[in-house]
Amino acid sequence: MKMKRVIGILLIAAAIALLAVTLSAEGMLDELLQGMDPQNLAAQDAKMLKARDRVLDSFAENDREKTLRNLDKYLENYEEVLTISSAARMEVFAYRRSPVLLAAAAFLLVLGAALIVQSLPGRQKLHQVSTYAILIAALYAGVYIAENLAGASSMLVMVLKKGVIYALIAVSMNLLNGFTGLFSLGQAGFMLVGAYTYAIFSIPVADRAQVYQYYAGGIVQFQLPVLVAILLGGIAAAFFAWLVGMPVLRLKSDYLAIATLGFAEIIRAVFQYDGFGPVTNGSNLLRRFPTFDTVLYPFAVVGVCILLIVLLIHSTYGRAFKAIRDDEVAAEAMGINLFQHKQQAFVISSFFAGIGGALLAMYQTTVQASAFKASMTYEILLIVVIGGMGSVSGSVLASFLFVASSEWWLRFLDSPMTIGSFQVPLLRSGFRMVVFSIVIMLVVLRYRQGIMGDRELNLGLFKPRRKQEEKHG
Amino acid sequence: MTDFISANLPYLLGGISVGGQYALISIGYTMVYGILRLINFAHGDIFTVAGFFMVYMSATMPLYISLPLTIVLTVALGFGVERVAYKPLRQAPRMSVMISAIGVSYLLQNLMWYVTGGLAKQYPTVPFISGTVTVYTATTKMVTLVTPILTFVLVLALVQLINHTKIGMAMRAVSKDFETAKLMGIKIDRVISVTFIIGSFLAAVGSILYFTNYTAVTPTVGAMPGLKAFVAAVFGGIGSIPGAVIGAFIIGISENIIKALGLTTFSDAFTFALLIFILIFKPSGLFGEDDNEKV
Amino acid sequence: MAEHVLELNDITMQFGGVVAVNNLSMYVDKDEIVALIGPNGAGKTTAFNCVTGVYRPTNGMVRYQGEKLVANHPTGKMKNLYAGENKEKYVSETLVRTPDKITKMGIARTFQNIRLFKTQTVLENVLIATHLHRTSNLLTATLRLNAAEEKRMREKAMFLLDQVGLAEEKDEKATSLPYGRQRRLEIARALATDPKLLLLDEPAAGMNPQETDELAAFIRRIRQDFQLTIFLIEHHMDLVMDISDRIYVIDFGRLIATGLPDEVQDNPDVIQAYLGVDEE
Repeated sequence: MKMKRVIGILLIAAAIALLAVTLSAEGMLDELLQGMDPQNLAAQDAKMLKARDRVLDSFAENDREKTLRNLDKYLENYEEVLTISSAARMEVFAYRRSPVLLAAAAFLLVLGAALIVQSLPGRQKLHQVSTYAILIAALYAGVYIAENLAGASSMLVMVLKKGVIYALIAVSMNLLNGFTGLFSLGQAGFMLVGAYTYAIFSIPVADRAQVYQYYAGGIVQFQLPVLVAILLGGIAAAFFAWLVGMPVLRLKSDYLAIATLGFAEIIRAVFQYDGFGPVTNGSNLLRRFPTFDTVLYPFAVVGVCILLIVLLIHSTYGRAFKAIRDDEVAAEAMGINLFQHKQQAFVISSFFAGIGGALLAMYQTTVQASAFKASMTYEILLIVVIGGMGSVSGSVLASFLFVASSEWWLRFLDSPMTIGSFQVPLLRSGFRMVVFSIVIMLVVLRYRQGIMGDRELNLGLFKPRRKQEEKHG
Repeated sequence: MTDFISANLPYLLGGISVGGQYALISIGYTMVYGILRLINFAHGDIFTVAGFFMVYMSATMPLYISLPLTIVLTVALGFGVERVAYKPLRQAPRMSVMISAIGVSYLLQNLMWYVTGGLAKQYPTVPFISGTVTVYTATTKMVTLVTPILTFVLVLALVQLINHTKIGMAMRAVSKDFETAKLMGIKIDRVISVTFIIGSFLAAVGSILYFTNYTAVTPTVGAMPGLKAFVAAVFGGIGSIPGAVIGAFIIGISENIIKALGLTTFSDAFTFALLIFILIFKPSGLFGEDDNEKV
Repeated sequence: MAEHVLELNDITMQFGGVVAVNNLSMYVDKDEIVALIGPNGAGKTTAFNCVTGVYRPTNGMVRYQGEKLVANHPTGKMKNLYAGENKEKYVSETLVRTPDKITKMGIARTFQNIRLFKTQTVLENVLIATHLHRTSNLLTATLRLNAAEEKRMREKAMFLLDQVGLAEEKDEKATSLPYGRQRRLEIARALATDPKLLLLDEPAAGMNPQETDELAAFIRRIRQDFQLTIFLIEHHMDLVMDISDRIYVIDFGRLIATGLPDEVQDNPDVIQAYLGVDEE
């Protein structure tokens, strides 16, 4: 206990030191460069002076990447004449890596604080929350660091962005298919509604004339804040779900699959209809809406959404959903209104699918109705199956696995390859997806439980609580 | 009046023709659902694969070989899919089997994309049914007239098979009560295989007729007619063969009427609007039966 | 006139051409334990299902504490097919309630072929039944603003588990319990809906004589502790004769005898109905 507290305090101290170093490096570039040049060589070397000014100019412009480029050039070209002390080296390093260091410092701060909390006696629940805080901070700091080290346009960051968005959509589908036992195939339709709603209401007014060039700038002539537009995307999807659910959820569950599949097809046709062009831009792309520039953005939004879903699943309503999945007749006999609860699960699932759709639009930077085909729903369903029906963490893991394999790891299968003079057979465009679908079929047939079954990655949040009750009971 | 007829006759003929093609596909859906309570999402893709079989085989073989071979291969595919992807899941929850069907659909689509490179293939000309014919004032392909007749003959034969043969009786028994039929010594697996064979056979015939009309085959072209055929099956009352056929004709004709009205974008959406409509007002479909779960 | 807790009037349930329950009328009074017995396939569970809203009776009416619960008359295809009596009697009073509404009014049940929530623990099974009397809504429950309610639910569930002697096994999967204990869990789950009338569908099925004796004592005790009225279907004659205040006997869906246990036992019609029927 005491040990933990000491470590916690030390970590916080380290974090503060790291913060201080990093932040000071931010403002000291000018001084630093002066310091490297002890005999004021620069005054005699016009070229060198220019190079240094370039660094300072771009620094003054606040253009990070340019500053770093110029700094590299300066240090490389004049290495011999400059005196670069180890302190200076460290400061340059700190400047160069300041986002990473800040993220690391923030993580250490959380870790230290959490350890101190855990060293305090009592308050079991607070301890668990702090454990989660550590893990979440590690995840977010790790993602941010990865983005800065690998570069914003690297494959890794692409996969992280798309993976986290798919994770939300897969979890939303799991809420319905895995936890409530309703077989819905409308996810792509609800994503489409979310994506379009977001895009329509968030394109800057100034750009509308160009985006809606065939429809005289369209009829929506205002712009909503990004988060409001995302939320509206979710609400619009939820509204359509409510409408579809009204008749269908009173029927045998098979009909939901058919009706939602049908709904997804209708909505796709409707959004492409020329008559609605002034709103939806017909069959043309929607673009120029705000997007996100850091991977933290989708992680933050998705994190909040998944947290809400997990809280719901563990609430009394979540228990009712699971009861319906296990045995509808018994659930109804226990006083659970089947229609009402199915409708709730369906609307909530669609709400989050809509938000996922809005985020997907942001990720893609453009959105077109024709892309939201039934095969998109199938992919998400297969992610849910691979992760395990009824496991949130399974869906999340499977989303990243799925996106990483299909966009990255299995890419090589799509390009012809020769080893020596041997032409590897079969490898050409499209082979990746074939291999992929065979793997999926194997999972479906052989490992029906998926990665997680209906268990969760258990980090001890729910177990200790039971122990506590035993004491009371 | 004459103008009205000559303006609209092509659409009506087209509707009847496409309705017949949907009917042939929808029987496969409705029979499988009747027996296994499974929505066979891969059926539309089997229909498309049949189209590609024909494309690739007619390139190297004469028609009198490629045509029957297409049908044989499609039947083998349907049979094989059942054996590999559905049979091992007989004891599993129903949702698992449907997911397996979706997996098969996904696999077939990706496989077709791989083989064809995603390009549209020209469907071969089948003599006689590709020829043109003039009905009253409308000039149309022969297939337009052949389809409803062939559909009618095949459905009649199927109904005879179901009502008057031993295997037909077994099929009826299994669709009424799966468990009891099993206890009565009916070889369930055989009945299911026959069902898939019949369904795939009709899908192959439907595919030949359909693609003779539309000529371009792409890996996803079958998805839409597949879905519509499925809606037809639900509309007619899933599990009922006459229901599926009538539903298919209604959908085919209405779709073409909508096209005639100049609302082509909505011809697909209409089918699904019809679906939601029937689910609201008569969920069991035109000829379906309600069933009660025993508690 | 004092109102009966439960009253069945001319209930007929017909599936196609099969009349499963034929013109059944009976009542259950407050604090009574009433048994409905009859040979296999006599229509006992069907009668139960008409009361709990699982089936809509083809004809007849059910009252609960004087209030109309369910009422129907033959319609549609049944108009011509109907083979029961009193065809026109209830024409003006169609009333359908879903099982959850009926449970909410204070009637809880157990099932003949145990229907626990398979993937849930013992505790969760009971917690689910406390959902009925929630005061939270989706939002407050998700955001954990209902901590007090959640605590109450858990306390109530634990109390009930304690009552039926399952507190020790609360974290086990419901389906991992032995058969007899699963039945007790079903009763605990039913009690969590705060019923006034408890319907037990063959509570002693599959139990040995000792377990059956325990069950009899248990049923008496919960009637006392929870002030219940109990209506049960049973095969076990020992149990029925032991605990019932009154007994109804049906055969082929038709009421053939009614009265105190001793009276029914000696009734020649009852003996005949059971003759040759394999009884435990």
